[in-house]
Amino acid sequence: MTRSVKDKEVCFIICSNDQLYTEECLYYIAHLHVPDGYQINVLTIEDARSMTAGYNEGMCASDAKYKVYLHQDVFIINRNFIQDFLDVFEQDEKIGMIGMVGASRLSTAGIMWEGARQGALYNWKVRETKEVRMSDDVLTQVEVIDGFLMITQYDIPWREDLFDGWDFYDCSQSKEFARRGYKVVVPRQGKPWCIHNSGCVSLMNYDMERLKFIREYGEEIPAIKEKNAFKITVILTTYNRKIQLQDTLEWLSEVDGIANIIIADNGSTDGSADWLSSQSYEYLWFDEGVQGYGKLWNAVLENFETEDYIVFMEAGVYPEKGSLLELISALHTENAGTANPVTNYYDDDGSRITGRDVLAMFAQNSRIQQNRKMTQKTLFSNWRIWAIKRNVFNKVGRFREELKSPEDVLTDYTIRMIQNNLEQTVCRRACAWESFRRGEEIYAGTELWREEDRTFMRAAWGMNYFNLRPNRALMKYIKEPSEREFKVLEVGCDLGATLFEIQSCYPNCQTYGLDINKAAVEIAKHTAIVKYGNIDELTIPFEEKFDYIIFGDVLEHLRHPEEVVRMCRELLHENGHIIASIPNVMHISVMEELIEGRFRYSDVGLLDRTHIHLFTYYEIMTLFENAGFEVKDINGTVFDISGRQREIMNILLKLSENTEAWMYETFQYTVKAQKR
Amino acid sequence: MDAQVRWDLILKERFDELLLRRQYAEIHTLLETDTEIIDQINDLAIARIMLSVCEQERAAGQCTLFEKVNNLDEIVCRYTVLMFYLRRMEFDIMDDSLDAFNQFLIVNQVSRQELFAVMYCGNIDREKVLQIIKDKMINGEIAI
Repeated sequence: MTRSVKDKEVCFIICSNDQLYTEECLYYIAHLHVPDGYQINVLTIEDARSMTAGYNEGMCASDAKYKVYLHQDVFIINRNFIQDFLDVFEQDEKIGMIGMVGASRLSTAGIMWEGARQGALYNWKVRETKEVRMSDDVLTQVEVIDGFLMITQYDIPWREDLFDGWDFYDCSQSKEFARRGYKVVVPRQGKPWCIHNSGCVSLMNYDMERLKFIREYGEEIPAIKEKNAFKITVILTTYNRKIQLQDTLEWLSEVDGIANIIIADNGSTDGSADWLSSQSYEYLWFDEGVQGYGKLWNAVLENFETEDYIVFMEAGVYPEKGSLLELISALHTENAGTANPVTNYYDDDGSRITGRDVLAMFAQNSRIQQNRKMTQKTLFSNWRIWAIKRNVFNKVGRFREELKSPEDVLTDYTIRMIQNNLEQTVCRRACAWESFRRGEEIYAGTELWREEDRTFMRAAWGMNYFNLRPNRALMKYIKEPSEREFKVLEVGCDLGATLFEIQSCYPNCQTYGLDINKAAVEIAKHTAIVKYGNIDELTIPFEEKFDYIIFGDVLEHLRHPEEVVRMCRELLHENGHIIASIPNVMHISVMEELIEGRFRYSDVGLLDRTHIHLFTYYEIMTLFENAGFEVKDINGTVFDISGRQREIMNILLKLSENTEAWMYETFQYTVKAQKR
Repeated sequence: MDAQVRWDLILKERFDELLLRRQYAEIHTLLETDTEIIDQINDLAIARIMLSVCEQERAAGQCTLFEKVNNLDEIVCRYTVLMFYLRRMEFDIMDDSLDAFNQFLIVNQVSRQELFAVMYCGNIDREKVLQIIKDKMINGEIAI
């Protein structure tokens, strides 16, 4: 028996499990203007077993043509809401469903919030309620809409048979409307039409539901269809690790997206070459005479046809099954340079990758974290596994053949990519396990190559250091809401790695840098507002006031550290902070040398020959105190010390009541000091 | 993920225990030690906001919010109800709920500090709401 649809009726359907919120939601509905001739009613579904079940129950119980499915924590503040959505439906009868926020294109993982979104809302998070405006200029057809509020003019059953939880019912319903030839749209709202409580949500079953969604609709999701069409060339380098090479090749046979593998042997003497020759691998390159990675990688690129996407990796690295496809998904922007997966030796998060057996679980967890951006910009690439688009070589050129160690070849190439405004990213949806021991020599000529490379790099770039790693120990002291607008100055910013990552974590942060190396400034200018200057002259070339000023291993190089810190009071906003890392001259390794009558300077480390001032814990506290700052937090980096050092330390501790063990064990202090 | 759920419950239970024993210094430590975790748990994130309210109330020599409640649920409920009323003010749909709002303020001994903290979190046009509250206080329509 068919039911007659009431054309002039609007039904609000709410799945409810919290009376307080539901009543408030209803209060706002009661204040809506109802267009002439229309009727509204409300169905509250108590304690539904799933969203789809609750909404099906509501849909079947109502004859209204227009149904508004909304969460109990959505408050409609646009009093003209009903007329406004009726106007949208009137424009085109093929419009089946309207949302307040939607995605015009789902990501390759089928996740809405990873790509560009349309719409607007007032977003309530515990600490703040603010307007969130995505692209909201015109009525936009989208692939999926967010389920916090969905308006339909046709009844299509919710997929209760598939989705028995609280996730992906919205994406599924969007696809069901599309399957029936209807459009799903987000209207232009002007001022947002709703407030939505989007505090922390449980994503316990999220990934299970996501996989169901992809299984059901994968063929209808453009990004997934395109991703599955990607082809990757893997360039696998190896040197004297026959067993790992065999193992890696077997592992790669299960990894998605690989079209071909080019195996490049860097002059192995352990029988790897003979074994490879005896196999049926089509693409093999044997480097004669161990010439280094600059030549090796170039030779492979010149002698073999590659696909559009290339993953360079070392035998002994094990990427998770879907991770290479995820990596190249991160290379889809026009200015993408390289993409790196999270590994146990690359990125802090990778510490949980303890072996190949946990890769699948790690990848799954990484992919369901709502607040985790899919990619994060960085300046540093991991030479042991990294991906690149082939056309980058047309822009940047080939690798420098004078360089031999892979670290230096890639560092040099990365700087050239920065000069070409190409970005490096960490793709947090991709992961790999590196089987090497920490510090293990993976390639031939390790130290010798690096020494030769350093000489070449100094001459080529006019710099002594090539630091592309951010100082995360200092970054941790910046605690701001992710969307806050604030300003950070880094004194001695070098190539800008820390500023770059701060900007990546805080998109509305303006980053400024100062450095005395003109060559570094020219490169860092591509990543932040960076100027040449010597802060020891007690002047800086910026007019702005800052929220944070960072000194990462800089104060000990200054002639006037206290005056410089005092000057920073004028450069900081009220309650602004200085964040600094400072080496500890009282470290037990220095004391051990001293009692032997030695105080030897070196190129790097605690006794770097360019250190002009030396600090202990007390001197650091005094420095900030005298300069008008209050130290809010101070921590130390501690490394293992030898038995003899411990012995010396115990003797020294008996000689003074003012010292404690940690003062000898701390290699470097990190400080957060607030302007008084 | 299971571990995360357990932490959520354990921390809330711990908060309630400390509140019951009136161990406010320990509550401060609980809420401020690992703020990243606390701020991921809605109810405790609200309690953390209210921690600074308590500090302001204490400094002003007033009875603090934590002294007025028996558990975390009550803190969250106060916060939610206040937010709802303040939002109604902001969007001009207070209607006849002003009396009920006033009663809520009196019965629950809501301080200005608590009210303003909630306003800061829940309202978009804070200046408008602040002005409404000030006007109503001057007219004697709101008693705080």
